[in-house]
Amino acid sequence: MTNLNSSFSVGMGIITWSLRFGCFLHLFMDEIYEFTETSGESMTPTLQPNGDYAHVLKRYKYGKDLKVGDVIVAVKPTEPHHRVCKRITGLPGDMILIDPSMGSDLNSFDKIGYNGNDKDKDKDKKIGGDKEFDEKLNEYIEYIEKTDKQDIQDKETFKKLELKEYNENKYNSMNRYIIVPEGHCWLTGDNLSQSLDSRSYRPVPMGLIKGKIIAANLIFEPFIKIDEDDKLNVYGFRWIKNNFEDEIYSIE
Amino acid sequence: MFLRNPYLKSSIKGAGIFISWIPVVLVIDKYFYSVSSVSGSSMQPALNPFLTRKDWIFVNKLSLNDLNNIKVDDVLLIRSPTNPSKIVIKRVKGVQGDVIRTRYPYLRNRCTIPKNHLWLEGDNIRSIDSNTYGPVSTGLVIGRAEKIIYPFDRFGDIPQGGREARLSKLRAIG
Repeated sequence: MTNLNSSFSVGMGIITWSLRFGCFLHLFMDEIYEFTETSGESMTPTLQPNGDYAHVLKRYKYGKDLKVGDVIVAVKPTEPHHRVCKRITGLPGDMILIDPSMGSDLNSFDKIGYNGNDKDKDKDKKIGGDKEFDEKLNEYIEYIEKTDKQDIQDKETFKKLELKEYNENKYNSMNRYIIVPEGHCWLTGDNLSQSLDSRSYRPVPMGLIKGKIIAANLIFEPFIKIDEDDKLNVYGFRWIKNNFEDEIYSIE
Repeated sequence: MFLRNPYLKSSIKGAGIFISWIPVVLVIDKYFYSVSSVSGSSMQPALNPFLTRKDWIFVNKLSLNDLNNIKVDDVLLIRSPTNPSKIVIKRVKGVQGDVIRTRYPYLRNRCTIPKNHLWLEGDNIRSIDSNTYGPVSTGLVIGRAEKIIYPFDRFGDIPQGGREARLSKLRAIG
């Protein structure tokens, strides 16, 4: 009987100690340091698409002490179960030009079917909205008149303003300046052509930042390698540096 | 050696066992259930109806592991989008895909909520909420406030409050 009791207590000891240790480890990984796999092409060449493991410091959680140019891990705002690695390229108060190369008239998909005819181009710009848009707009005007009990006297001007906004959103949303709001930051990948980042989901709240990446290991590298400059390198270890250079133009 | 003292030895052992359980308590507080006090007037009159005493609420964090569990009129604790060191309490007024009829500080009078975002408002009309900073990512949600536990005379569910903000429902009302 005593034997059974003691083996029971030993078993309970193992279970509770592993629970306590597991919780400790989890908190450690959550609040202090984490070593985690990264994947995806958005940060090449800083981080490889496969096989790169990042050393993440959690002291920088929620955007504390971060600077422009730091590489961070954050929760994706549109998919909270995914985490992304990006570089901070704007802090609160900074003015950002989103990305004129992405949504410009020149390579917008709507403009490809033109045949290069300038007349057609002008025509399209004037019409701007499609049939669906006009229907929605009429519905919207009706709705406003019903609920706010206010008449929109100048329906044409109202329509023009809405159309202007719609056109701007459709063709020009990427060629715009944005001021990063308080408590947010602007994140972009290093590989701009393969990265889904602030250019599409706009400024990210700093509450979603989970930590700062300070170094990385590439597991495809040999375990121990001697560099060109005779330094020992374990699993392709490298520091990930803040390569941001502030270009200050002095006005003379 | 002072460790020969049996009382001291046992008290050190007790302290060690006590310390070893702290991470477990912290994990339960962080991911399962928690208790929190409410300060500020943004959820009046549902919470803190009198500013002289604070309400204490029971927070369920486990049920939000699946973020689809968030429904309109839930009261949530979220990390403030404008100041990440602050936690604010707001009521959900719209989930992804809803079209919201916004209120004053917001620039446009409609807003379609993007994927995995929420429209949050305080019950008090003067609260700083989504009408100021727009839809909030569900990644900032910390937990759902489910019960009032401290002023015992108001022990129980959190009262309903706020307005209807979804355009589809407003249309149905007329």
